[in-house]
Amino acid sequence: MIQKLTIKQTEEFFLPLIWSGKENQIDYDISLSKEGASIRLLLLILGNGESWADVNIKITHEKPQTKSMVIVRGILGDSARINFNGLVKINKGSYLSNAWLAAHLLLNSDRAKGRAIPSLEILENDIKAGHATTVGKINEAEIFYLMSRGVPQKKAKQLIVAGFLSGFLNDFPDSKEKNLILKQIKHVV
Amino acid sequence: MMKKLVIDDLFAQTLEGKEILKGINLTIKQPEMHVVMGPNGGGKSTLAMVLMGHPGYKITRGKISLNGKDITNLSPDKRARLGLFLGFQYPVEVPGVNFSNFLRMAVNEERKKGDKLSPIAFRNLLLDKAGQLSVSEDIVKRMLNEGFSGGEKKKAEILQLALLKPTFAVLDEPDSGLDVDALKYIAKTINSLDFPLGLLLITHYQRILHYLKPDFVHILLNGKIVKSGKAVLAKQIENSGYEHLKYEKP
Repeated sequence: MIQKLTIKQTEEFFLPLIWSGKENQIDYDISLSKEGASIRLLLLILGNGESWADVNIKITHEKPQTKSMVIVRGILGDSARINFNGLVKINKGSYLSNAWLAAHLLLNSDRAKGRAIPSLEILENDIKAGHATTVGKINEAEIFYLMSRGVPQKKAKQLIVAGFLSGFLNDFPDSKEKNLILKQIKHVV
Repeated sequence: MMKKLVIDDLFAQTLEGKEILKGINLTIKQPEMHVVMGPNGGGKSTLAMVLMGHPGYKITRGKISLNGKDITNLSPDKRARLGLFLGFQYPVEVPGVNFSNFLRMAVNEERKKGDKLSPIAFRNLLLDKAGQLSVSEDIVKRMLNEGFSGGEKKKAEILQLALLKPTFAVLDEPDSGLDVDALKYIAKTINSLDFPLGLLLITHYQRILHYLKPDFVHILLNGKIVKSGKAVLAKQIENSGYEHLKYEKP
């Protein structure tokens, strides 16, 4: 089911989401439909086992001086799969708007698969918009560096994963789910 | 038993099959300091990586032993726990991993249960060593090499060396990209280590040898040590370059 949200408030609308394998479809269609409306969407992805999901996030800037920030960060282990599509649309007349779309997926297994496709559709000139996506395995150079200090390979990987998530997790409000994740990675960060 | 790092007829190639080390023989006894010099592309950094067990290289012949134990096929972490250290030419940035926590973990890997350092004990030790190297105190808050300047990265490598107290260390160009002050701090720290160390120092330039006194100098050229001598050899090289050595028999 597509979640439709229309944002009409000028203070930042904060939407922190955590996916840990339950749903197979995450769809958000978000409109910024008041001058100065703003959203910050964070999506933390933790996939393992056979879990998979299609993630579609669409943001439409309909008014001037609107602001959107979408940040996705995920770890995929085992044979987890994520297919992320992010679309930011800036309509004509939404001048002085600001959009940022980022998705970073870290693959912690040879069988895990991640795809992240950012799209920007910009119909107004006087705006700022950008995107950044990466999908990749844990960096071998980082593993070697940590191991060269006497840390076994498995621990080295845990450290890198925890480091990849730690700053991002700080931005999440406290919740049962967050505490669980923190507990899992606590001994390494 | 005397502690020794022995490199015996070592041949190594990249995974693509390019042969880089072509029969290296070198024995370092603790607490000797050996310097390996040579032009770019001669195999210096590869030697450092292969000694630490980098997975990007394959040893095709020969062996490496550390204090009597064959380490040729051991993983890097096992080599480290047996007392080998590699100071990287380009230390790797590991985002989000706290420098101090990581280093405490590394130090405690080698310690037995009951002998592990507490966070506070380790912090004090780290700050003490950082002071000697003139590394700012905020290093305890920072992430592993992330956002460090070139000089800070090099100092942080030596700081790790001072805390991990290995029996042998390979330092791959600890002097490259440093200003004179940083170079002096690094040399001073190496000279004043409070534990016995066998050192293999790889360098491109003579410069650091104004502050360190090696027992032996070796010239690595095209994957082989073509000349060995005392400290004075480094001076000769400074004057005459490497070029003429290509035509000399080892």
